[in-house]
Amino acid sequence: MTGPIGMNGPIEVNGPIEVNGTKVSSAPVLEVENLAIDYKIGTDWKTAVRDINFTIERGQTFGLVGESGCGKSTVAMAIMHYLPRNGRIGKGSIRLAGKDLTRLSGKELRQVRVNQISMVYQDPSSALNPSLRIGQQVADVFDLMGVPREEQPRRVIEIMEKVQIADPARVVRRYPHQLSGGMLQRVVIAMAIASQPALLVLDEPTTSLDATVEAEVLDLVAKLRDEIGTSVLFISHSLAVIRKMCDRTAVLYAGRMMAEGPTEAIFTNPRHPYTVGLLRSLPTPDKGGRDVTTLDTIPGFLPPLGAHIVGCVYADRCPIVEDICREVEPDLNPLPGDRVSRCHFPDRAPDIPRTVAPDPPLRHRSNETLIQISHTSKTFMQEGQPVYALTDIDLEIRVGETVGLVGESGSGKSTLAKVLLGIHAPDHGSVVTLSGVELATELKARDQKSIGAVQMVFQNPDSALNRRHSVRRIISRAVTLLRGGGRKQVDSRTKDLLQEVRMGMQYFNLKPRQLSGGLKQRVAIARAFAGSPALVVCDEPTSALDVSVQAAIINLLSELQADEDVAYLFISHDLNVVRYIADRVAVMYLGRLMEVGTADRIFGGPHHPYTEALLSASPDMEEGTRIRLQGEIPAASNPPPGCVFQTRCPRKIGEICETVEPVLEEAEPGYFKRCHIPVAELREMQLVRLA
Amino acid sequence: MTKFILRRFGLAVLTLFLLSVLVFIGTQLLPGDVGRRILGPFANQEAVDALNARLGTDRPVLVQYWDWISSAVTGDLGFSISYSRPVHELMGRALGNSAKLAGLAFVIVVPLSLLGGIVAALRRGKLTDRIVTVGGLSATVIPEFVSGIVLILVFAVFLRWLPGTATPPAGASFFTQVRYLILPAICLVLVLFGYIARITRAGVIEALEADYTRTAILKGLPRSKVIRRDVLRNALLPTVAVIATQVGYLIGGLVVVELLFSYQGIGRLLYDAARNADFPLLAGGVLVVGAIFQVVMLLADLFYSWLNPRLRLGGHG
Amino acid sequence: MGATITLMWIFFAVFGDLVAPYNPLGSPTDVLNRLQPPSAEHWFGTDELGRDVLSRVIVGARQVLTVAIAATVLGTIAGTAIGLLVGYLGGFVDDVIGRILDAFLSIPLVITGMIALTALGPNTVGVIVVIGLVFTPIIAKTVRAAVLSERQLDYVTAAQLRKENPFYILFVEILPNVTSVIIVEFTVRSGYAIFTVLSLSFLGFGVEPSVPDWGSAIQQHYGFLTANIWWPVLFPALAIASLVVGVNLVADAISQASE
Repeated sequence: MTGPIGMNGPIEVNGPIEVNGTKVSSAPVLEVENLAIDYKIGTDWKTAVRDINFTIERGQTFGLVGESGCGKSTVAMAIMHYLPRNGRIGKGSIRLAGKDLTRLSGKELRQVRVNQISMVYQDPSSALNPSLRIGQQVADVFDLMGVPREEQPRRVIEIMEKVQIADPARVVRRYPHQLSGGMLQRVVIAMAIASQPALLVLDEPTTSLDATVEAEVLDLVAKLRDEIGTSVLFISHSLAVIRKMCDRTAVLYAGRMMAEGPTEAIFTNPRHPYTVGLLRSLPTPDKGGRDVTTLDTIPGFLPPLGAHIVGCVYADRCPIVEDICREVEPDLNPLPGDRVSRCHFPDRAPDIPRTVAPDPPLRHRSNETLIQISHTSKTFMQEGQPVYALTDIDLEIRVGETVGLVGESGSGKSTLAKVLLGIHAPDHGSVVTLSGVELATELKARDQKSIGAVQMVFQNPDSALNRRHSVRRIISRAVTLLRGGGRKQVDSRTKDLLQEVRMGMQYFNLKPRQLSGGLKQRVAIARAFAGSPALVVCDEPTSALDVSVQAAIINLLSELQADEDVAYLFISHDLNVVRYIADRVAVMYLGRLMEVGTADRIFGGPHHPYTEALLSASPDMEEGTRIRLQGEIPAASNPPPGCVFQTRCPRKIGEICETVEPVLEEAEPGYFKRCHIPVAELREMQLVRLA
Repeated sequence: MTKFILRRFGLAVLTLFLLSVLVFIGTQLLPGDVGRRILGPFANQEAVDALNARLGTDRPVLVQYWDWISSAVTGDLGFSISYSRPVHELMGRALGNSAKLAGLAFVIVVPLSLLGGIVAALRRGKLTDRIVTVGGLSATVIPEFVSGIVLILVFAVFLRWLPGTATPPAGASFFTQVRYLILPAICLVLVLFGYIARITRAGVIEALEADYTRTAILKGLPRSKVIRRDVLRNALLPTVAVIATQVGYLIGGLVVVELLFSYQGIGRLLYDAARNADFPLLAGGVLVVGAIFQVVMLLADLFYSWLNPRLRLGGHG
Repeated sequence: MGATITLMWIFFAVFGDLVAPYNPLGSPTDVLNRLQPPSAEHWFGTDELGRDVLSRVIVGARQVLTVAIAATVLGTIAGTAIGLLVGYLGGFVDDVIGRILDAFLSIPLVITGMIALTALGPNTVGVIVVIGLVFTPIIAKTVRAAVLSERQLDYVTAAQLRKENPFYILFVEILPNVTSVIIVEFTVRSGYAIFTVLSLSFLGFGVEPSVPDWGSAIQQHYGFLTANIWWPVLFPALAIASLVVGVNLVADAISQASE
């Protein structure tokens, strides 16, 4: 392995090391001790985060994982010494290579920021100055390092090549708004590693990126960190990503560390009820699908910020809580294997009973066609140019089944949903039938019955509910319009609906502001069911929710489907969720269906090359089976000739892919693919790779 | 980019056209007919009719409009009834005078309010901020004639440092002219300052809190450089757009200020025209003023899109 | 603090007649007393027709506030209606009306006022209507922007998905979410309305001659400044300054609070 610029070879964790050309000891890079962070809410300072203790050794990758509000980003900001105006470090110390960061002067802090610590965070598109060229912003870093002016351009190109940006000479002259998310994140990473910092802090660096792009960025980070020997603090809400990237992990909840230790141990042998709960609520393949078991959930709610709690902060939600838990807060008890757990009873963790009964709701499946989408295309006009959002879609949805729709941004999945719902009118020649009868293409032309039959649950519950209306009004109005009836009937039906989504009457008159994300989504679901729909389109219904809440919503949707015999078109970018809940799956790319089949068939293989790449991009996959896609997703206004995937397909067989667009054909009973390669050959190819 | 310019230009022309229609309709609402107004209530009807025929004011409205607008486009705005001179001649001189006054006001207010807004944002929440924000706000809402009178009282009557009118003696030097214009200019400055300072302040605060500023600081850049490059560069962009819209208030202010300080500018001219129901002068004047306003807005839009790389270069490359 | 000042003036506007020491309209014999400096009998002195300045200042509040508030109310109602419609319907309607509104906006307020009021003559209702109409495009623009951003939210789509009638969507779904914007606009525009009413009356437009009005009072008396007769001008000026500042402080506070 060639050494990086300025380094003399790779890092060894325990020997004497050189960083930036000077020998330093093998002491830990970062030591966080008893850290507490306060926030000013109104006029009082409240402690939001406390008792944070962890150490990052040389070359180590340390993960901070937790749900929203757990304080992981706050810790990162404290380490960077960039808390907002209403935040301060209450107690404790943060030592970087021995120096206490909290006690540095302005000048020293700047030195540290230039040379020793760098950060990459979530949204790359806003992280760069929109009025300056890329090259100039990257050159800044070298300028601060003292690199002479004449040498800077060369160094900039070098570092851009290092993060695998194609054609760096051109990119350097661009402005941020002209680059894609993935490219921008690479630029930010380039700026971060340019100084070969001792510590690299990554805060949800890939959350806003597409799956395939995310995989590449994570690979890049792993490669760079190995080359440069930098330590990494990796913050994410995604357990899968943390597991993939980190040597050690700390789990945070309500501003406190619940557990810390080697990542594998924490994940395979969790010793804290919260970690157990989190892992159980994930719909991983090993659990089987929704017909095998329900997902276990974590009941209750997060305590409010800065609330003063006696005893263990998790007590209200813990399945094995005892009296002592409510009286005495547990310390971070050490356990064998160099790990700690903040629990009075860590040994009981493996035997924690389930909160939710595992028996899945019984449902009866039918082969009767509910929705048939045929020859459906949708072309938008944008500034005179046609944008081919959907091309030639043929899809069937049967009564009571869940069809999962997967694809990255630009695949057209949202457009398909909107066409189905009547929000967009499809192109001429498209046909959508409901129970055999053709559906009017536009909402205004549909009758009340058809309208009530096809409804939607949206991604963002904050946007989906009118903030000024009460829960009661939101649901009743839908009932009145979709079902009809007098005052009393509407009211009674509203109460029934609330019950169906497992919400008590105490929420009846509340406004959305007073509800949590999960509760809001339940209200949205109740509203969608107001007219006893035959099909509900679920557009990323759990993406905006925390992991533990997601499980509860998925269970709810599963139950409702069994009770009401409703079909779902379930759109999600999370393949595990789709795999769990869908009966059949359709994979989309650039407005076309690439593959359609049962969930088992689609996920089991042999796969369409795009599906193969998508699956391999998931952080749950093992090493060595990564399929990397070249290039970017093409623009929908200018699809490539032949097969639209051919510009990036790693399995491309030849000219036929570039000239003839394959047809979506039934390669096996119930399985459709749009690819020139026969199934048998795909099986061969994919077996070889997996070896 | 050129497409954008053409569209913008077309828009300006369209708006001007609509404006001319509005102005014409407005002036047609003035009571009585033109002939009667000129000759007075005691002239006999035949003389009035003859005058109307001669002036062309007895023709149908649409014809009058067309006549007016077609000559306006070539620069001939008709003949002023009250001054008995061609409108464009009167306008030319008045515009020149007003330009001097407005120019002086602008030269003072723009740097002052930008600076004020920036400082207020940087010292957010502290005393300086409150003074700039509240002070600016208060100054803005006080009508010019009030502040004008207070200024005249203080500087011209009590202290006798500056003249109480704005018209200098003929052939005065540059500095003398400025001396005469400074009080009315300050009047205008007071009104404009608050709003511009406040928009600037908001823009700077937004830039200070932006992600890219965070990136810059975490890179290790010194604060002064961050402020210059990341904050100001992005914050001042929307301010440019706003300054142009203030021209409208400026012109309105000119009317009052010029009257108060006895200055023969466009504001005074329009005021006299309205008072005397001098339709050609009024219509012509408002049209020109409207046109100037549109031109300023157009230039500001062009300037803004030139500065903003997003608009200049378009999307993904 | 702004609230106190504003409330004081509102009080005077309503109850001025009862509080004022003298009859603000004066009587013919007052002329003998003209232009007296402030004294024990006349705290603010007398004006050129011998009327008590203090009384005229107190009662003058009524004229300003009535006209300004009425105009603002008119403009707000009209502007909100237009803004809602245009923001929701979008498309062609938005473009066309947008152009017309822009054309209106390119004539400075004061000039429109002058033109219209010359036609209408001294007429309080006229002033109200004119100012209200001129404010309409500005308010419409702000409301439109707020409506546009609400429209993108999913609850609007959800309403469309249940084939909700457009009036319900506009007035029951969207309007409650834009009221805070409307309130802020109202208070800010009130300040500008006062400004404009006073400027117009100073210029001599739209005010009936004997009604006590601060703007016209200043207009009638500023020529006397050079003769060192400052009181008929200064006191109305101070009244104006305090009222506008008070109103704007209130408007500012409201707009800060709604952020």
